[in-house]
Amino acid sequence: MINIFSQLMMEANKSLYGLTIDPQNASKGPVVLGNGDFFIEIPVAFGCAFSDLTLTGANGTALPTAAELIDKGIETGVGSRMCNAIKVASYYLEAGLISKPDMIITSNSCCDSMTTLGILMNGYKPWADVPKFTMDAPHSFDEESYLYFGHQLRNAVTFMETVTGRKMDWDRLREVCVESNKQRQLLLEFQELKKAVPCPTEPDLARQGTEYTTWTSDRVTPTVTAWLEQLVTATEQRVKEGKGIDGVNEKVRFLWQDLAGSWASGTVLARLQKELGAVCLMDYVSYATWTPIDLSSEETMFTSFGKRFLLEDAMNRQALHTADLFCNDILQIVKEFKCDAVIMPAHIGHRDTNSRMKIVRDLCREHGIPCLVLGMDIWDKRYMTPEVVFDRMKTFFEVSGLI
Amino acid sequence: MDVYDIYIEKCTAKIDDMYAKGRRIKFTQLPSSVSEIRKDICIKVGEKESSGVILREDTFIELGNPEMGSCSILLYTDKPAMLNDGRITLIGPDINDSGVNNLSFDEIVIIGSLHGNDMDIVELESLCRNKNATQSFPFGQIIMLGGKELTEKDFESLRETLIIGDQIEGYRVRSFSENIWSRVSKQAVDKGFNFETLGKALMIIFKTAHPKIESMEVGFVTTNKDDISILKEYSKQILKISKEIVKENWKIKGYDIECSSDCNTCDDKPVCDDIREVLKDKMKKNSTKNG
Repeated sequence: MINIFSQLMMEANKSLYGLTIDPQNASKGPVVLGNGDFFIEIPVAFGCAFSDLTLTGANGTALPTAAELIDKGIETGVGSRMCNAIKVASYYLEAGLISKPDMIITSNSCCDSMTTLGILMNGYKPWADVPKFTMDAPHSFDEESYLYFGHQLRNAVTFMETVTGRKMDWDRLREVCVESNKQRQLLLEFQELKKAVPCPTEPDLARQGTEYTTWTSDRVTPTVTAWLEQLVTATEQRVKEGKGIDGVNEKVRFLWQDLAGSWASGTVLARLQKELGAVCLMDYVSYATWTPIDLSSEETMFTSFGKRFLLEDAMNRQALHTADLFCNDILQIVKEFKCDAVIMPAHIGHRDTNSRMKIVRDLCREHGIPCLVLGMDIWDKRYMTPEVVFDRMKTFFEVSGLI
Repeated sequence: MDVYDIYIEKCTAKIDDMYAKGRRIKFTQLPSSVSEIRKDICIKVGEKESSGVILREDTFIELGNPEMGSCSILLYTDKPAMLNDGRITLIGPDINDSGVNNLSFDEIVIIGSLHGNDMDIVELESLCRNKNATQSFPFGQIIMLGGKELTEKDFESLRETLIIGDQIEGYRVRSFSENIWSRVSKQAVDKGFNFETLGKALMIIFKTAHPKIESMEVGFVTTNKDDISILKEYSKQILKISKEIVKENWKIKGYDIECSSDCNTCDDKPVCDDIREVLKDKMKKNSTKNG
């Protein structure tokens, strides 16, 4: 059914297509290449393109040639249990398919695979003459860490200025941050609306909205703000009318405690929703915990960036820190969003999450929350096919008495 | 269980100090028993009592919007006598006072409220309630609990009780981590919801969930960012204590959640040292071989 939500979804998806290799290679310079989320407001204000090779790889797994790309990635010699998004990125890199950037800014991050990709980029011989800057992310979440990483980001700006010979326009950065704060407030508002029972619209719009706001070339523009405003207004209307998702008789609400990856949303999750009334309320990317950027001074702005990177960025929040924070988030989401079950996809590339399986199982048992661990690959559907995932989840919901 | 005692003393002293300096402070004394508190509360408290979502247009006020500043502190002790059981302290304006800020000067003058008779005030209040929630208070919340049997092991379950969810009619918390950002609905304010109500609701929730609690005090701060900053400073230190408690509790369960990366404290140090020595020897041999 075509409605405002499907139109918004199409708009966001069109922009998200821009994250695949060809549009990324066509980015207008100066181009910064990275291995993870660089604080987006900075390149936007600086007026340069930022290309995240991890995302380009991840989006490669959504292409029709995904299987071939993953297999070619294995041939580059990266570890067999390495995340497949990174395998594809490694292939793109080693095969010389990525346009030479003007500079490379990398960081150690939550994910060992992403860190490996950073090392590969920095050591890639044909790019030996490309200026490089590496940021050091502490694995902790306190004011000192935010300040520390804020300084790293500030140094990255100086590096960009040196490489390009241009100066950061601080008024422009402030302007971009104001727009960014507006967008995050709207995303938080949408998250709030997902608490309604039944869920008023496709909850996956939160993930798409976050990706649209954070990763695409439209990020931090009034176009995205208008998109978000439309989304929130239309969803509020549905809450008022007490309506749920069109064509869905909501019976189960569940948390998908991982990334949705490149294939689960359009296959398994869509089918579960339609056939069983099982609605996926939340995943890593859609879980919004942002605080606004503090615009009082340059230092507070960069400290806010540091906090967002370390604690509020999807996957960094879940993987960079302690099992206690991970478990507390699960409880918070289950309670606030009235989830009936927790699904741990246990993506094979997420060794950090996989090491916490027993902890999560124990936690769920203690609190009487049904929990299923899958052990799938969110980027490669050959590892555990959509049909198998669907069947396992269906059986789980049945034996848990949820359907 | 006395690790938080110093901060209980600090928070209490801060309130006394503010009171002494003539700051606007309201104290309410409630009975100790939950059933008595329940008798005199204008909203429902319990699972599924809040309809779920408070829309922007149905919001009377936001508390602790991040731009205004917010802070949530949870403290507990095994010395219940340290606390004044049932006391709710409000430092700053109450919820009902907030709508006035949303009115333009013209609106206030038109209804004649500058003369300040009772009818004017009633009209003014009703006008305030129809205003959109453009207003937000800074918000500090301090919950202090006392119980002889409370120990470090109770930390997780007490923290979990802070996830209020849908338990308070007309009130939704939307915050995460150490901040507290919430909304109060217009409907709840019409029923008389104020900080006393919120304090009562929190006492009902905590005392019901944890029979070990013998005394409980709640404090709210709505004055300004500076006062919230003082609380935030306390909160940072309290967080460090809480992290240590969490770490120890996880250790009891058999997990070390903050693996130390310091080689000097690692049990496997001798193994790594041996490997390093072997590698050094190998490199020496290689360099000798290669001349």
